[in-house]
Amino acid sequence: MGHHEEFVDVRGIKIKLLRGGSGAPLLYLHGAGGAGVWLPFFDLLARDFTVLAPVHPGFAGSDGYDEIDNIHDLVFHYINLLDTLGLDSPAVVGSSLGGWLAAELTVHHRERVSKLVLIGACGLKVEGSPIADFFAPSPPELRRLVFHDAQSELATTAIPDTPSAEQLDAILRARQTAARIGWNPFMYDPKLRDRLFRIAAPTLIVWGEDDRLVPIEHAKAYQEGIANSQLATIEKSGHVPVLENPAQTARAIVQFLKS
Amino acid sequence: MQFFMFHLMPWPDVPEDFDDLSKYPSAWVTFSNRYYDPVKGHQLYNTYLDQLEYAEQLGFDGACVNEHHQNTYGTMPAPDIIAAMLTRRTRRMKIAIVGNGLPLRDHPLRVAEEIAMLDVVSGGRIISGFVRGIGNEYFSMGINPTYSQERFAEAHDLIIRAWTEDGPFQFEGKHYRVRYVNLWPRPLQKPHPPIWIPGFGSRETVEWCAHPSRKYAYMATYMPEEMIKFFFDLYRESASKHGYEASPYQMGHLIPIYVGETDKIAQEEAKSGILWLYHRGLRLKWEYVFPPGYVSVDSMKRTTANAAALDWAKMDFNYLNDKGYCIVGSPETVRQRLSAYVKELGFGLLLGLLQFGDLPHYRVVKNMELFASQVMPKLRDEFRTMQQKWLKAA
Repeated sequence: MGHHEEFVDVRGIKIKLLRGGSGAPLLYLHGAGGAGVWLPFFDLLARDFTVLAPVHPGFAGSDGYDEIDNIHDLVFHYINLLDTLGLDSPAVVGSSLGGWLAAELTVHHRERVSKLVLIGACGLKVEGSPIADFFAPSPPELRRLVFHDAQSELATTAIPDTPSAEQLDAILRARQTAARIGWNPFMYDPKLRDRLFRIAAPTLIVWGEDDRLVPIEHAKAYQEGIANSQLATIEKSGHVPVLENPAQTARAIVQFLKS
Repeated sequence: MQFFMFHLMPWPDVPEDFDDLSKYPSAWVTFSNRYYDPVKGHQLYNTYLDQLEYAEQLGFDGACVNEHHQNTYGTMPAPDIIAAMLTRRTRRMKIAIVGNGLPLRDHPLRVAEEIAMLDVVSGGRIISGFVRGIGNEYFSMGINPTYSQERFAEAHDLIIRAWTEDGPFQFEGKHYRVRYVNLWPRPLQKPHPPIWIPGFGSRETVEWCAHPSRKYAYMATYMPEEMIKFFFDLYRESASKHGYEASPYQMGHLIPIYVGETDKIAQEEAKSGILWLYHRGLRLKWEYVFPPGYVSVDSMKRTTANAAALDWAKMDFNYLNDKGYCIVGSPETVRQRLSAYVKELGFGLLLGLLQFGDLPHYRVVKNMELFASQVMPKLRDEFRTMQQKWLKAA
């Protein structure tokens, strides 16, 4: 399915944006692993929606690393992005770090999000179930942490032992931007849990059954905090169901957004 | 030339199967402190302090201590505390703290205050090193590594201003904001204690040190000779671009040294300790050493390409000794090699690591005595002219 790449000036920050499909707008917020690549998962959504997948400031392809100190700076950036793109209240789908961002965005600007999808979202502190450290592991350790099947071609391609120059650049930028936002507290906002009540949008929480990075207890905490929410678990998937099981993930999301 | 006795205060008592890398992939961050025995630590700290104090008696110009956290390589998380002990037990020699990990501290003014106190109590014998702390320590201390460079720069500026300006004044940074900076006590040395910056391969650090507003001494650590030459040349070039000639006393070389009666004896006695240092104490995990944002993306790419030069685990004793990661030999061998290094590299500060790894006390004492009696005086004589020229210039 067709898509194209463009660059958008969001109040002085040059942002890379992938756009494809047709229908109601769907804003996809990527995780700490990086972005900028059109995924098979997007094709499955693009049949019913106009998929807009921007690259966060500081990640490879977008500028603005020095403008972002914390998750709230990203929220501010995305409100500007919605205004720049003329989006009133799209569906927002966020994975991992992007899920945290989507939840914060909706807490602060509930009128700008029609429906919310949180996939393996970090952002919460859940006593006894900390989010795993993904900065310390070596590539093989990281594959075991992130993927249900760490031996798969998908896993070794996404997290290679010896990345190409271009991959290395993307990895280093992704790591430093993610660390700036989430080194300490580790990938959460201590106050977010008590603020989730502000989310009124219908919310789908999507979690890989085998997520070792953000334990399933976080899905339950989101479910408890958000009144109008439901949980869908994805088979044969670790932390990134959009990569490991795009078919089931997209099916659950499309069904939810169209209902 | 000036001669300093450097100490890391290692914890050599690791488990017997420590070389099983699957069990102990790192000597830092995750190597459990259940292997630290405070009863033995009591004896070890005091032995190490005896060694540093002995350096004054033997005629060293000074002793060096440094800061490292949560590891077996060096058990001096608070170097100002060790410096404080030495301050009252010595009378003449310099005490160099190389250095305080500025971004790791909650507040730079605590560093400014501690150094000022030490400088006043010691009668102006303190040398103040500043470091960022190595990457591992950002994991161990929970400090965000992506702010390491800017926190260092800002903390440095605040400390220098606190030492040199009349207070109270207001400081408004991104990371540190203080309405009333008004340091009591002020340091004794004017304008402030000398500043040394240990380096680990960053060009930006060398150029920053060489700037005429600073002229901080740059210390090369654990690098092979050709790498040190590159950085010292870079220092001299930066200085001349700024229109001045860099003094040898703006460059220091930290290196493990062992002097024995003969080359053979020295090698036999030093080997275990040298290998302990490079294969065990410095057992680092790449992801710990370079946490995200600790250096710029471009610098990180260069470092990734040069990784082999710092992969000490692959180097055997002879390689380490030949390439200049240590200097081990008879008094004459050590003298000749150091003399050649000084001529080749042009540095004036020698920081000898005379205790390393599991080197036992009696050998440390013998090493110090042989170095101080048979190597140091000859090097002092040989480079006396250099000394006079530069001390006059200073």
